[in-house]
Amino acid sequence: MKSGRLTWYLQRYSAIYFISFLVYLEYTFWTSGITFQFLSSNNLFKASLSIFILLACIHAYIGLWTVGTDYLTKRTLGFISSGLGASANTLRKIYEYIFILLGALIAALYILIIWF
Amino acid sequence: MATNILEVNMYRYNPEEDKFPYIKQYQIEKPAKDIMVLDLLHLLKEQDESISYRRSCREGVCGSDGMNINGKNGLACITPISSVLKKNKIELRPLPGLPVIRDLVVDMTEFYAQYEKIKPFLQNSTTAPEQERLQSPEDRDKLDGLYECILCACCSTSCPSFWWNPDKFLGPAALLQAYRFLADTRDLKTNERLEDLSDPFSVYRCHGIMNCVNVCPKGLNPNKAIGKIKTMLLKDKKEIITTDGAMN
Repeated sequence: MKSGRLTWYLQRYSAIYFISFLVYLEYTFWTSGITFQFLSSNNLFKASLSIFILLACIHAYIGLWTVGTDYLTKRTLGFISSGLGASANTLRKIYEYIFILLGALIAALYILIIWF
Repeated sequence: MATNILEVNMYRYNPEEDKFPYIKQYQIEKPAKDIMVLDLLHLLKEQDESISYRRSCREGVCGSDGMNINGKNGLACITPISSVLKKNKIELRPLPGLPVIRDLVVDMTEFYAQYEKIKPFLQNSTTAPEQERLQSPEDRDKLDGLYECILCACCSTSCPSFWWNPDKFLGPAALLQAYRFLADTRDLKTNERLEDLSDPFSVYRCHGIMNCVNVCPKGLNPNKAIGKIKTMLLKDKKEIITTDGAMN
């Protein structure tokens, strides 16, 4: 994370997309009815849902990275014990990699289900 | 407890004698007239000479006696005890988040280091006029609400983002001063100043919690200044500075 501007825009624009997607979902539900048949055949819906999932992963990662850099630091963990404080950077890296791995797995799984 | 007796619970810690900090309870007769928390500390010091705290001007100008009074940061010298008393009790603690040197005296090194980072001086390499660099009254007005900061650290030490990352997040006091120089038409290093603030921590770690606004003893609004810095950072930098250095 080098640019505060990039993460700021990613958080805000993804949030705008989430709202827009929910409005689209609501609109589709009331006009067409959401059936499995409809979902599996409508490419616009499939594409917008895929983008939603990818953006949700990015949005969540930025949020969790912020939480990690607040609470998993030498200072904060040092309040619990000096040993934990000393290994704060390693713990935070593990925490971040777990979320990257989980996010990538969830995104890949959902996109596979949507398209295949 | 008798209504004419004040109970003062004070954070005490002397690293040369105490293994851990502790809260010591003092009882003192309630003064006949409303006095400031600093005056109360003077009275307590007559009881116990070992109490340590900073003070200087005793009129809210020097910013030395910032402390946590009944859970809220403020200057002891301009806080009347009547405004903070809860059931005749007052709890005094050092400013939160900074290392304690002794009792109510904190180590401000981290706070000043962040202030130093924003380069709190005018940067203008053009030839200086004989007398002074003039500003229009309108441009001068832009500095109101910014230059009055006395660096008491009440705002920064009430900010959770500063507690967690005091080495990376500049904190409201330093950011208020950063905007003071960004808003100054005589300063020509706007782009460089913004570049220094563009990482994800320095400014963007402010989540608008507003504790800084709530506690500022001078009634300033660091959150508003931070919002303006964010707006400048999010704009295209080329738009910010015109060729003569004036800010759009």
